[in-house]
Amino acid sequence: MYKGKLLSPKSYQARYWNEYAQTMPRDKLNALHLKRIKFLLDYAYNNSRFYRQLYDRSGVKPEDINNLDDFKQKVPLTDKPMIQPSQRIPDLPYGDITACDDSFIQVHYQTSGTTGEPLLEGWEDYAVQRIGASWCPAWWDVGIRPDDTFYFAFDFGAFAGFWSALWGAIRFGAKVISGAGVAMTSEERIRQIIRLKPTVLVCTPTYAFRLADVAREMGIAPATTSIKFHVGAGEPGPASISELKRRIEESWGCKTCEVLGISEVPVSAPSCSMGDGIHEHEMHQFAWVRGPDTGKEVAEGEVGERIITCFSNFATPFINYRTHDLVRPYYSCPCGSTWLFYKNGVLGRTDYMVTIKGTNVYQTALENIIGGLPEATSYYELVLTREKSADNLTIRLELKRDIPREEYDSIASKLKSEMRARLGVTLPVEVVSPDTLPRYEVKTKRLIDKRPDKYRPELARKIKLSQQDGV
Amino acid sequence: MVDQNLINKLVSNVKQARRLIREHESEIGIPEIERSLRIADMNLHWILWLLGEAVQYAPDIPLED
Repeated sequence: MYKGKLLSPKSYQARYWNEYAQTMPRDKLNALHLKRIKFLLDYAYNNSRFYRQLYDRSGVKPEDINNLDDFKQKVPLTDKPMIQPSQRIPDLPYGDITACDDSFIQVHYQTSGTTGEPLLEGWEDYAVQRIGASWCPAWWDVGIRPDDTFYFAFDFGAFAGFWSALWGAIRFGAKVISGAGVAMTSEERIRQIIRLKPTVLVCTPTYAFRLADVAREMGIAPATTSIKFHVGAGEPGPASISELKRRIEESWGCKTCEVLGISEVPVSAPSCSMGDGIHEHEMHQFAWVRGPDTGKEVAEGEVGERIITCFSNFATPFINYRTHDLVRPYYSCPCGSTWLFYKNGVLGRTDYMVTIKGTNVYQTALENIIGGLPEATSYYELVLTREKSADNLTIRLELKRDIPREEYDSIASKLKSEMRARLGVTLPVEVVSPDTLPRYEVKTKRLIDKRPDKYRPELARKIKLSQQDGV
Repeated sequence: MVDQNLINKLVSNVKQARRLIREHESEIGIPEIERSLRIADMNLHWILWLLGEAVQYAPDIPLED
């Protein structure tokens, strides 16, 4: 029997997946970003109708950008509602942002369309390979190695997200088992895990809990299975919500990691091996953090919106693109990586930052408090309503099955007190019976916005309006 | 610690390999071989990119230097 090794002994000893890139000095990184941005601006201006028109309207030419501050302040921001309307132009399925011949586009994905019409995504082979590889630093740093076996516990569907993890795992050198398929129930997935002994479970954090519940119902303790790592994406994960991390690691007896991505951009930002945040993937994109009120770059440690420029996609370039993710940036990290670090990952969304009685309430802060309640399950909803000219947010929550109903009110009070103490606001809590709330396999919908349209997020409104206007 | 001399040597060799691939790519006329050469070139471009070389934005754009 042939015996080989997927990597040399020297590489197996490596602390980082790519030490050269992950620890590159900031000055060198910034100089590199500037060169790459200049290439990209030139490429986009000369090949994409969207960018030529946008820059001509703004009076900016690629040659006007001489440093990164020029880029941040002079080059217009882009946003999903600016791109989506042109996707209905005949013969230009990905819109006028497209910068290359359609023959280069090799894969098609699209968003779920929960805020309107789906956004179509066309990527060339290189983008596919790169988004896959952008998962790898998080895997290596948490201890996953090419000898591990990945178990993909979801249906792939039209979302790019977990497809990219599949390409990454293959690039990484790992063995891959697909737990996809309409006939694949959670029970069957547990049976597969027992039989095939994968070591890495890939699924949303919510589904990791669901799968653990199912295993227990089958009489199997999840922590006794072969799973040693959980890889999450698709919803706020262990780098953002420390209680979630603790619970997944306890349930499965494993280590966790995640990546942060947005569907339309083919790069994922890896979680930090120290466990409490996300690093920007600075080989694949340039990012800066913008104050929502000032429009200027925030100081280190201040909260702002993550603005990205992607180097991994020449079919549909994204330049100074608004992610709407609120993050807190730092330029150093105890793990030793020089890549921009977002402490506690994504804190919330600019389009879903809720102000209750004058206090900004971040979704992840709420989820951390709920996750810290010993009686709580991972099944909860944050329901936004509009009452008496103000936004209101109600928490609907399922408790563990063995909690007697007579204790529901006191547990709700305990949660309210905790929120008042930690966030400075009082929010209503409604404890519901077990199995009341929907179960999700891919993207868990926690925030349910029941406000009238005019009070809903600007992003959702813009998309809806652009569809009504036509192109 | 990464050995910078080793990196410099690798960069030089990869650039040379790309030039050699380009020489054959358009002439070979065997689809399977040409596609393989293009995929090889994409990976070589990626190596240079990951090592911080300011190579062109995409492999299909004419070679720099």
